[in-house]
Amino acid sequence: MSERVDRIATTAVVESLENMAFMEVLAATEESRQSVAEETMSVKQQVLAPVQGEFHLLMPRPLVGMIAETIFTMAMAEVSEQQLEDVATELLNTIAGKFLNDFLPTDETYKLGLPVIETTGTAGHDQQVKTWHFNMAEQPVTLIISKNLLEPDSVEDDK
Amino acid sequence: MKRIVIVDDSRTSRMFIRRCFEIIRMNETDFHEAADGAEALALLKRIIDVDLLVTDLNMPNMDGEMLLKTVKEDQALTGLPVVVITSAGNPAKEAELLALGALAVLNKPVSPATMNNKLGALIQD
Repeated sequence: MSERVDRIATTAVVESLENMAFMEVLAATEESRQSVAEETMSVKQQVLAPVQGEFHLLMPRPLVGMIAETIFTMAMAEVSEQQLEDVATELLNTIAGKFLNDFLPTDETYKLGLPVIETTGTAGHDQQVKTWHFNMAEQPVTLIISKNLLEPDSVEDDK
Repeated sequence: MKRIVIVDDSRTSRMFIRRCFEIIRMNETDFHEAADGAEALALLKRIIDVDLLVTDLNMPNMDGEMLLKTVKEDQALTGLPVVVITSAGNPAKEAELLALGALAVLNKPVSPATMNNKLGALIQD
């Protein structure tokens, strides 16, 4: 199950970010996992059904700015805080949806909450999470998912 | 196709969807945007001759599913084609939305090619 979850999580992040930002996303090296972005934007999105859990996406603010530049075709200096936050929340919304579409059985619907910017910086501090690290434009991208969302009984093994 | 209403609480997503339409040569189309279903309904009452409604599902105030139901139950709007573009569109949800009257359900992130393939006959009219 773990390999399947890793594959689905990786695909969700890579395909979502590459298709939206037109930048390559790579699995993080051990060295890059240790790097800490000076200013990190953190987004949270709750899963409301069929089980309750959370997705978190952490990205350096400059990286979100680069993506916003591409999407809005404007210079980073012109990108507003609201646009930055909107880009970050939409990225997680897309990743979370793609993950659940591929992870859950095809005959099971699900309900996501609205993605929100986190200000308290507690993402990932709970030990009951699984974390994936990536690199995009040489900057770290981290996806965190509640472990209870990944329980075996919500999985279709042959998918 | 002259007039399209795009509904999504994310400005990023609305921009992305509009960009996809423009890439498939719909840059002469008149685009209108709304941030939720309630805003979209108010827009639809004001604008005449809307050719296509494109909506997200997960939105505050009124979500896309309720918007779809409301449009299909409104005598004046029931013939309006509605396309859902969502991150939450697995086969089960797609079947539900099609049964409610959606023309098509596309998954985010949508691409110009997918849009052209799924909606080609409608949007090139």
